[in-house]
Amino acid sequence: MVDFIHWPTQLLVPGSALAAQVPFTRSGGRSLGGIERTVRTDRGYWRISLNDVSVRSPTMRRAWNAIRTGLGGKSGLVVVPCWSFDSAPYASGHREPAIFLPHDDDTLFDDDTAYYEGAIHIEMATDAPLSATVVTLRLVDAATAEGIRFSYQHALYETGPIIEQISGDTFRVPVFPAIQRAIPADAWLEVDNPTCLCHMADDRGMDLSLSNVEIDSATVEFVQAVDYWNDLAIEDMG
Amino acid sequence: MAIQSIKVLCSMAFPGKTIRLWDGAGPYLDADGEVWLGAMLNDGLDQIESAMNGEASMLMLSLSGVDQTVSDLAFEDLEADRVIGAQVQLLIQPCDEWDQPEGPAEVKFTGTVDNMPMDETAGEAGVTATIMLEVTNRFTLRTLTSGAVLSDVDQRARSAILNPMAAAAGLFDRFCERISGLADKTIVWPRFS
Repeated sequence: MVDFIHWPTQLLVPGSALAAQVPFTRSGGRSLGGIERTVRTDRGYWRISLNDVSVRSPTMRRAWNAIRTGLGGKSGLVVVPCWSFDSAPYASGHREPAIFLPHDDDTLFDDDTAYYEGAIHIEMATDAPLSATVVTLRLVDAATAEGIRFSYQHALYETGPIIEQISGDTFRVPVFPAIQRAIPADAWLEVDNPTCLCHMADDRGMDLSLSNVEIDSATVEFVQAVDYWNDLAIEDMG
Repeated sequence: MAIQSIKVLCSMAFPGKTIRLWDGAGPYLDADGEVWLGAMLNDGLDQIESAMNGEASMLMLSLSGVDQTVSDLAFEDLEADRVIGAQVQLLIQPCDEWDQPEGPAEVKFTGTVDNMPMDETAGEAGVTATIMLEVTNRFTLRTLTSGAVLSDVDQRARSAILNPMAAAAGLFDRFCERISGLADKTIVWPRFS
């Protein structure tokens, strides 16, 4: 898999974040009575904004510049965190820290990082093929499968109401958007800190001013990089 | 239950490859295992809709976000003069409440590519590159007044197509044989005296 630029979740923290669904609907316009009949033509895609990202130290500024240069306008791909701690289904009911594990012999990687493991553990119970809209989730260590966000290989999904409880811990739920790339059975989904592969919404989306007090904030808008998933689907087809 | 969800599909059968696009965001895998690409159709969807209602006999499709494979293929085939005449079909796929396809897609419009202009527009927000497809179907020229003249040669040629077996036997429709002669024909009013 390609190495994407990752938005530094801990360093460049937004004041608020917004993950919005953009469905495709179409209608014939309003009737005289003001009623509109609409038909959906696709579940849609994600738009994510990181509002008021505060930049106040040289490290932050350098990280900001590095991302901006790495992206090179709205064609660049970036992995954006989607704040989900509000709805994340922690088994304990409280927010739990992620787990960082060292190697077997208690050593870390060269750069002192460890293996990351989310506190929530949800698996895909059965294969989810491309463009599926209903998936089966197995809760290994989680509270619920309803109304949560998860990501797999940086494709972000949100689940709807439970359709069917297949067994004690397996649930069928609809997802938004349609599955962008097949998720194999037993795949471990990222539920703690789901991410979304995005483009900037605007070529100049990461403009940042420098004020006298050197504390600045900027809002960055992102659009899900559906073109990447389209290309990948064609590649997978051969 | 009323249909809440449909998918608008567009397939283009170039000799090299069939390109499948649909009016959505991500990729769509249909029941036959074909992948349809999203996020590529732009302008002309209103025309698609009228085409679907059976009104349009001509269609301008504009493709945006055309990816490398599609545009390369388009260029290649255009160079090789194979684009003109490629079959373009518009289909509607009814979907169930979970946006999954229900039954086969219905073909709403079939036509052939008549021309493929490409366009680059520089705007404030950047450069927009589009490939346009001018698609026509068999009703395109029906509204024009035909300039054809009823002549013997035409009629023989037509009969050779309509009745090839007779043509093979050397027989042609001789209906207009004497048409040319009629131009100068004088009919004399009979005098019964």
